[in-house]
Amino acid sequence: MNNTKYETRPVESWAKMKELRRTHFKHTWQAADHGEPIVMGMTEALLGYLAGLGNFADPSYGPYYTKLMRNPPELIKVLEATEAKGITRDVCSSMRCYLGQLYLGMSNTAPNGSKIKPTFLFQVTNCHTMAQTGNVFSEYLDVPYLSIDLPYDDTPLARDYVYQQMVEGIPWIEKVTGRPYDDEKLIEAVKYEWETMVLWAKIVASTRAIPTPLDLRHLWSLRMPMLTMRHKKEGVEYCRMLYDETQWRIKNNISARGMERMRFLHEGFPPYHYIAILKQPNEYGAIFVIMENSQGHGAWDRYADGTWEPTKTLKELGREIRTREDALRAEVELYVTYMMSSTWYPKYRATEAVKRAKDWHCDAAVLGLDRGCHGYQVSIMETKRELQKAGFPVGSYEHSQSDPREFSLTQTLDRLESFMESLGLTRIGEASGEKAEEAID
Amino acid sequence: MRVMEKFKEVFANRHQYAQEWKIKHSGKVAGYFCIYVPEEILYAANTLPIRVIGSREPEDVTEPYITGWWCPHTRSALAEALKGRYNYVDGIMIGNSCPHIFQTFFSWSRNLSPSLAYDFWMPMNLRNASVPEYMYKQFKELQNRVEQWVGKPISQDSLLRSLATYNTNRQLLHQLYELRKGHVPPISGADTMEITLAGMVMDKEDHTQLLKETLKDLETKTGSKDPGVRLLLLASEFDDVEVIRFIESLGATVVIDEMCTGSRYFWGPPVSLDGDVMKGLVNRYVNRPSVCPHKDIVERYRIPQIMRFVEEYRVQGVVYLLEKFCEPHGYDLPKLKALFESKGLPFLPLEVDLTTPAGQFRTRVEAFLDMIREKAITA
Repeated sequence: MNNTKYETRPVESWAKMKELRRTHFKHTWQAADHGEPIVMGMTEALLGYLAGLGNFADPSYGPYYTKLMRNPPELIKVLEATEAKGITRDVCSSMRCYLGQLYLGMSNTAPNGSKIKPTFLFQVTNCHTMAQTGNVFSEYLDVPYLSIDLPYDDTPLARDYVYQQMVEGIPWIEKVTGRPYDDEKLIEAVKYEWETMVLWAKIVASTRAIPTPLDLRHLWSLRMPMLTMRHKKEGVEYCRMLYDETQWRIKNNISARGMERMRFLHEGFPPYHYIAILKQPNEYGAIFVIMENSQGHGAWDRYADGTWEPTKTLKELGREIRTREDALRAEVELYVTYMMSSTWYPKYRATEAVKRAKDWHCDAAVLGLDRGCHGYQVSIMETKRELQKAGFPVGSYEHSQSDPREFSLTQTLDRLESFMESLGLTRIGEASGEKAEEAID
Repeated sequence: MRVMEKFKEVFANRHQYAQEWKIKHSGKVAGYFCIYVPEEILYAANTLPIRVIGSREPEDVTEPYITGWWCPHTRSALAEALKGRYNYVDGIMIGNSCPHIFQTFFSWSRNLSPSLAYDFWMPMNLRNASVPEYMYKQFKELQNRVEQWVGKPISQDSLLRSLATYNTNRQLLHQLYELRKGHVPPISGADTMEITLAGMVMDKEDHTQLLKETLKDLETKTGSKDPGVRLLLLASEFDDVEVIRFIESLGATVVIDEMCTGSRYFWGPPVSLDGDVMKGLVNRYVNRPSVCPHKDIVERYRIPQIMRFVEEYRVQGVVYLLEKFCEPHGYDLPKLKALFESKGLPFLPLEVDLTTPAGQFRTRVEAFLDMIREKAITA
């Protein structure tokens, strides 16, 4: 147990993240006024590909998702609207939240009441629930739907297949938007996307440091621009700023929370409607440092022993992107080779989780057993067994990522507190009068 | 009907059947979990492809491998494997199935170490223009892997023989289903399902032989029993014949189904045996008219196929047996519900688990059938 007390400070890039988030949502509602296309879907992948359209708005499947996660009573109303239509509660709870927004007319309604009409739906199919949600939205809103099938294993055949689909998708996009596809914009966006994803990987890799400059709760929110603007100059600038700050914090021994008596790996998604769970160990002077999903937004080289290291930038690789083909092939590589997390492909997950726990100097692991997402649950129990075999104590709690009705805060806290205590941790202040750092939100 | 008993017997003793097959044919047995695995390639390699099916027995062995909220079908399949009932299976295979099937495949391959554990990406958006070429290469790669596994190349003749055998078998199953269009179907939905399920665990030549005998019997048989309400059965991956028998005992006949343990398994035109037969095989798997909702993305094929069944089989009501925790099928419910309502077609979704709550089901199904009968009288 590490009882060192470190200096801690708020993360200065936090304000920038919030500013970018505001910009993103403002742009969503104003895009149509500027004649820009609106691309609906979980467009967290292949953003550079869409940038060949020029500026576009990306409201996901419903821009009120995060807002609803902060307001469980409203969230429950939205979930109930989905169930009233007949969608079963076994379907992914995040998708049920989006579907409820659709059925209640929220998905395409701005805060001022004005309506937007998506130009088309775009979805990669690494997650079947997102792909099926695309079906429902497309039919309900009568909007054309483009899906890119994204195989989970990296092979030359898979890369060619994704490339071919993207090539074939371009005339389709031009037809439904009535806009020419601009290769220069594509090339520029892919370069930015590569850069931000490498930077994000480096930021996450930095959290291996003791003390960690950022913890998992920080990473959870700080990643938001990765979901929406990784293909933009602002995305690169933001990641560079955050990376520089992270390095400065490491150099000056600035800790995420002031103490890290124990470092924990988190496996599985946390409850988005109670994200404060990621700060729960802080009450015991402990800290969550890493989870695979936070790594997943970066571009990584993955090794057979389970190690993940940030991959090289285009410049470091000496790679030029001059043509549409260069750009599309780079885009494919980013998502099939460097980004695809084991989320949807469990083959390597257990090995990688053990290596992750070792590389991030974790003392134990906590599993979020998430009823809301079936894809990410595949292999989680196997992962538990591997972690235990490697000597890591493993605790767990059950929840549904976007459905607060399937989450008991009291029981969850009881479980986690018992787990902490079983590891010999005591609540800060109980024994020594120490005080936990103020939580940063 | 004695031949019907043979299907029942083989299906009930499927593990014994497969073990005897191995000895008789000096071949391997490959388990597959979902109907998107091109079993014709396995069969051409002197391998018996069998659909991995659970037992519907309560179990307590999967808890260390699978979380509590998991589809009972795949949980039960893994339980059977962990209990050693599938010890004779040499290899397992899937083609990008749902997460639940993937979990069973993954835990099986990790903990039971079969000599082949092969997974390949079967696209979800099957109508994409790039799919046929991609799948052609995938199937070629799969053929290579199978050849390495059995230690012998698959000759063109073997592949042709396999495809022809499957074509014949599928054509006979089509004939069997065709008989059910009649005013008084000569065979029940439960018996039909038993025949189809047996086909998934038997050597296709043996199954074809029994099917021919069955059809011969049925051609001379005039259905005498009032079929009652004509039902279409939709379901997740569902294998519990007794539930179908139970529904039919309440005054109905399942005249058609749309599920992967039924019509979806064999529906569609025969594979072309001319030219490059691998192209024909790809065409079958990519363009089959009846599609799992997991792979029915963008251009929807499943729902139009369901509506064709409704019309051709003069369906009076639809029962949807939805396995607990089944996401892909959960998505289609609102669309189907609205569609059936617009057509005035009564619809009953029932959630099923490892075991069936007979009392509850009886009440619901009886009320559903009464409603349809009343509607028929007042129409």
